Amino acid sequence: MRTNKIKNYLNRFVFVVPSIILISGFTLYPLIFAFVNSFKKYKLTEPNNNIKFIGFENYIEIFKQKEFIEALIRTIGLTILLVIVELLIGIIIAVILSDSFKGHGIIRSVLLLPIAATPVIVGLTWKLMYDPRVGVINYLLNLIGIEGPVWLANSRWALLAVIIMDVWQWTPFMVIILLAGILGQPKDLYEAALVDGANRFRVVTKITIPLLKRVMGVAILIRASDVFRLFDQIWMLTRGGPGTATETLTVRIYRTGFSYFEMGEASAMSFIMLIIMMIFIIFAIKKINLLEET
Amino acid sequence: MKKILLWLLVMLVGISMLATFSLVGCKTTTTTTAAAETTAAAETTSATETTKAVETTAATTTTESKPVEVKLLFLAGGLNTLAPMIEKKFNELNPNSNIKFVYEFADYGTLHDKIAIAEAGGAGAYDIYWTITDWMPEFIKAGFLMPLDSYLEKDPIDGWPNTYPQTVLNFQTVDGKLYGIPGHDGPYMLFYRTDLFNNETEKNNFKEKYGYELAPPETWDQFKDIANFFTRPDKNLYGTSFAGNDPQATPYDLVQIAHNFGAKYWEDNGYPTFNSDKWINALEFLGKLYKENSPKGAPQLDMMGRADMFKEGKLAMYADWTGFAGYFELQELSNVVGKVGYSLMPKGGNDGNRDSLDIYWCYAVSNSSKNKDAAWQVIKVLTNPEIDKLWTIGGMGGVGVRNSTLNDPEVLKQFPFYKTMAEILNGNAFGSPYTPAAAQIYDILKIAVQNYLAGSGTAKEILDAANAKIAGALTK
Repeated sequence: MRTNKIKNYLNRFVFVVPSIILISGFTLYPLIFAFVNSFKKYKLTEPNNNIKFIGFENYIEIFKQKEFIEALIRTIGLTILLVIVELLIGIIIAVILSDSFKGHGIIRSVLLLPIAATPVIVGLTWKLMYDPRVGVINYLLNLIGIEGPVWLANSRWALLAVIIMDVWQWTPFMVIILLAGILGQPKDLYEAALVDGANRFRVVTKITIPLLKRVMGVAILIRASDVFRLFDQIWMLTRGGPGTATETLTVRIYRTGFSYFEMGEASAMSFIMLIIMMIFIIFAIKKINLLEET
Repeated sequence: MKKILLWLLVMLVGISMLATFSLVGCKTTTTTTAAAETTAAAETTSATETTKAVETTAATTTTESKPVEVKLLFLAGGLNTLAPMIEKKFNELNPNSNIKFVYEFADYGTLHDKIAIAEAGGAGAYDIYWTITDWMPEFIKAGFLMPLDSYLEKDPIDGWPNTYPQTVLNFQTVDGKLYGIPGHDGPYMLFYRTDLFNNETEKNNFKEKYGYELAPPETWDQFKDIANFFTRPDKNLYGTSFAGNDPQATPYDLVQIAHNFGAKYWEDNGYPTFNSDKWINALEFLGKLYKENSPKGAPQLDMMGRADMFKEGKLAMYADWTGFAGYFELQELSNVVGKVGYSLMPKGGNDGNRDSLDIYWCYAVSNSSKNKDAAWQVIKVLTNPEIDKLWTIGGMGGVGVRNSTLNDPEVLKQFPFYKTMAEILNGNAFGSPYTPAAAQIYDILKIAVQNYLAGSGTAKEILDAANAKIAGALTK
């Protein structure tokens, strides 16, 4: 009896060990390493004996940097804006696609394509499309008599360019999640509403959206944490420019860590980002009752 | 039972963390002992793979020996075309060699970061780097590159150093130690369209409007006049262009103009002066040239895009690295073949000068390389007089650095700009800020130019902020 128990424990243990090793090695250790570094003066291109413990100096220093504060505000603003825009467009498209019509299967499949594209390729492709000399966007605008802007050289246009690119790539993600939610809703409610004479708009606002709340919560949670970490597309499209007009927190961290090699400061920035994300995620999970059964 | 399992678990986690620690910790060991290892590697041939490489190149190794991979991290662009030439020449000179070339290319914006990250890792990811002199103080200080003196002494490069101009021997030497062998040079130079500048109607019209002869500008004021004269958007012709979205061209253009205006990098006490009146004037002047004389998309252009515009015949003149001169003379690529003239940079103001910014590229050996001897054999071929010439007449932007190439009749016939280049290198050149923070300074200046073009502030406000950041970078 006792031997069986031990065997049982050992069996479980053996299966868990690889995950523990991997998590410890690739998540826990780097996390601790970065946390410790955030309290050090640590420049990658300096000899190691120049590394020293400086307490909270990195944290104080980065909050004195105008660029960091701007990047933080920009990232939060961009996150809110992108999530709202993608959610709104996502709901509209999902509602349309929830109806059966000829070719809806093809449209659903085509919608998935942007998500499948690699972020780096997306960034490079849009960069080419925004090019004032050879880009297709200004060419099309020209055809209808509009002189296109120099997209990536003007602070406002560049930020708009980033928003358009992200909305193009990630709205389909919202659509898929919301569509799955809509298709899983009970049909009898809709039938009852139609019998009572409700029009389409009222059905969507009074039945579809209220029933979608939890699904929307999950979609917002996933997208918000994605946008907050947005890096690849921006790096390929603008490198945070012009100037620092499209510099998000991750771009700032990359520039500090891997262009200026200030690893201590970059680690401190990463931890601030981590704390903000954790607060948001805990708040969001509580708000949408994600961990409670319905 | 549970307790035992818990302890086992803790031990396993500990072991796994220790294993990871030692992997990451490699950086510490390698960097701190790098210098010692380097010297040892340079002076001894008893190591494992490196021995094989040396034996191979000495043509004594049998074909049974394991191939030695020499990994080269190069700038993407023209160097891609050089790769087959290098291998061919190497095999010609070392028929029994078992060295295998492994190339990796990175664009300018990522090459610097890639070298630093690879070396900080200290795992010998690459053997040979193609590095610009701007980055060398930083890499040398960090111990990323190995001194090459002992190799040069034992197994010298063909004609070293007498067959190289002095201008390409200065910036890779620190404390008397040499860290790179030059492979590509090309100071800033003014390119202009001879068909436009020699056109009688244009000449007469220009003289009538401005009161002096149309000729390559000797001052930046003349440059502006000529740029105004040729800016004809309706005919798809612009006076000039700058490139506002390039990690190299965007800050270098400002540095070039500011220097011609007489601006300095530092005060006598070493404090940066990137917000002096001369720098402010230079940035305002550059902004005017962008706004009034460059194509609308110039702030979004990179260096290649700008060169393409000139090559397509859309610009009357512009300033760029000499290397592009070869590009403009390629029949299959260029619309301006035989129509390009070359001149010294214009002078700015009374106390200005006509100097050109000159930085050059070197081949350097990684301090963490496990194949240092083999790397040296490859560098010897890379800098061979024949490769130097091939690289130059290949026309993909290569500019050889050996006197034999610069004075070669075939090269001079194909690329007359070498005459002007020799004139620049012979007393009309200046360098970048020579500090380990140079890469960061250029990044800060790039952001400053972009901020100014985007209208984020006045030139003074932007350069005050940039100068403060540069001062901070220098003290860190």
